[in-house]
Amino acid sequence: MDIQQQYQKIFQYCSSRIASRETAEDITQETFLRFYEHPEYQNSGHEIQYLYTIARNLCIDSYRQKPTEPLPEEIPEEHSQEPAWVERFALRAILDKLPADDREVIVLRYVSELSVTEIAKICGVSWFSMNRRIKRILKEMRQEFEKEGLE
Amino acid sequence: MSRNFNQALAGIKDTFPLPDPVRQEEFLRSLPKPSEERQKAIVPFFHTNGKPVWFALPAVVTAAVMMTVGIGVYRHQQPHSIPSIPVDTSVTDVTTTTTTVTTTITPTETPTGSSTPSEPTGIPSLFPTESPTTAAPSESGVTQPNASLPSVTPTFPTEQTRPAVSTTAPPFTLFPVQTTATTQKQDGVDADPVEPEPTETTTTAPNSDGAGGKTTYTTTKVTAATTTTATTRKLPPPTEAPTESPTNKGTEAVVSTDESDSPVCEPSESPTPVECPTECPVEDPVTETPSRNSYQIVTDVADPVSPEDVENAANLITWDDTGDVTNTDANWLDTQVDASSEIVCGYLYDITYTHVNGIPYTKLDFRVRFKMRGSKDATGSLSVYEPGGYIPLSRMRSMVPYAVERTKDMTDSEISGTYVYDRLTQLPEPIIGESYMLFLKLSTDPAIPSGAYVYAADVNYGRMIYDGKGCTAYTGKYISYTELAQSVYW
Repeated sequence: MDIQQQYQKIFQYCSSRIASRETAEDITQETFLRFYEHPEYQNSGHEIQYLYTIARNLCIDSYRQKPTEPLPEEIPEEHSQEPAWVERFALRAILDKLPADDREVIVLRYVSELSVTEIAKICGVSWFSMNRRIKRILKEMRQEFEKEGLE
Repeated sequence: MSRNFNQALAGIKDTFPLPDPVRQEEFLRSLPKPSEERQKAIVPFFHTNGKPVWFALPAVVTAAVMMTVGIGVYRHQQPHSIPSIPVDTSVTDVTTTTTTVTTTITPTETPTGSSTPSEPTGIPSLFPTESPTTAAPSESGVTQPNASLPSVTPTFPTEQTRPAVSTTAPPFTLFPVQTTATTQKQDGVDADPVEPEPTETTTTAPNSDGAGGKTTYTTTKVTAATTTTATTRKLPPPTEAPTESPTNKGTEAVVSTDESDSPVCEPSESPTPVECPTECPVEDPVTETPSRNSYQIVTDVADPVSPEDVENAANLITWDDTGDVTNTDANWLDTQVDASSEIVCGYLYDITYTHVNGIPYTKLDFRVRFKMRGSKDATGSLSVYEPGGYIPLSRMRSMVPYAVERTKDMTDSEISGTYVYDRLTQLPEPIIGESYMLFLKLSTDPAIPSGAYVYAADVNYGRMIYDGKGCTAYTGKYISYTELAQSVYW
């Protein structure tokens, strides 16, 4: 497990759920600290699952402590004029409009790049259920993407 | 469009911000090193090439469970462990047919010499008449194994011989036994038992631990000339309970013998006389030294009923006053266990009929095989006063109204010669040599001798036949030892 790579992905995952960048980074570090506090988590073959489960729970705890804040509009100016980046941020906007549970699944799948099996274990559902859920969300996002006229 | 969507989806992660590289670097540097190597070093059996061995933990758990079960079964098979007794092997001089039996004066618990909870061997080990003085030598001249075992059962001085007495149902037989008594003769002539010649010797042997120490055993040798041995097994009169020997060096002897049965130091008839000690032991060489807190039998019986009187009685009446006693309590076992202060497995070796306040009682003397509950050590013997038994009708009429009512038509002469067998419980008929599981409590009745036990809770469940694996109640209900142990210990 590449710690540095996972650190970035966990941070991105937390950023998708936490509006504050600082809070997302704190949660990311807290996730790794708790992961290393338990030796049984390491070398278990499910390190990724443990990491995201911890991060997910910490994010939920953060929701309970603070009221929800709107996501900041962080669009890099230097890439905004490129067509590829326009499509990406348009899709990101669609993603941000999704319900929190659906957004979490898409982030885990396409930002954290976890397998469907790992996402299913993190969310506590079966592989088939998660697979159908991802397809449904992608279908909805695709329909919104078409409405935006981003062909 | 589809291609644009897929490209945008593949690149959507780039829309998420990256962590601060400086802060990330500082944090990752401060993280502890993975404990993989340390964990594998701690539990190498559970890891192979860094991968956990999936079957390691189940294998260890299974092995632990099997060992636990094995130990449990072993303990179950030996619920009462009997300490080993250093006993020298018998030495027999074939040419002179003099049998030397060596027994230790170290007390023992079992009358059978068996260390397993299996069925007792029965009557033969109960009576000291089978002790060295009456042990019949085999054809090869080697003493029978049981003859060399120290018998701890009481000795009953009697001249009465009862060959082949075996009954199970009263009132026709007063003292049923499980096995028949046998009479062994040589040359068809009964001979008086040759009185042995006890001698004391001291043997020093190195300890088995090899530590260099030595253990000293004091043994008593009993020599008997068996050239004309004719052994007649004698059944004791049940009314004569064993008496305690107060002269046993400060310890309470559970059994004692009359001088007529104790070995007497006499010059041996054998051509090779054995040295006789200057002072013959007065007490029985086969004695038991129970611990300070061991069980004790009750020796004083106020009004014993002699079996000869019953057998010679002009009339014997049998009454069954058990009534409808079927216990409908579904939790009768737990009720019985909860009410019992002593739960012991006893080996019945003596029956005495008596009566208390006009009510017939049967005093049963048990040698404790093992204990499941109790405040005393699982050694020694105990006495149980069980309702029911034989009583003179005249005595019963004087104190029990229903006896008068039932015999109002009888004349005084008829009454004086009549005995009553009153059955008051559904308990199985006590059989000497049988093992029973007893649910007891100390009697608080002032009329019953102090120290005697009575059955706790339901009398009909107070004594169950124990077969080594479980108990059988009077209703036929079988309770395994495991079920009983669960009720007692859980």
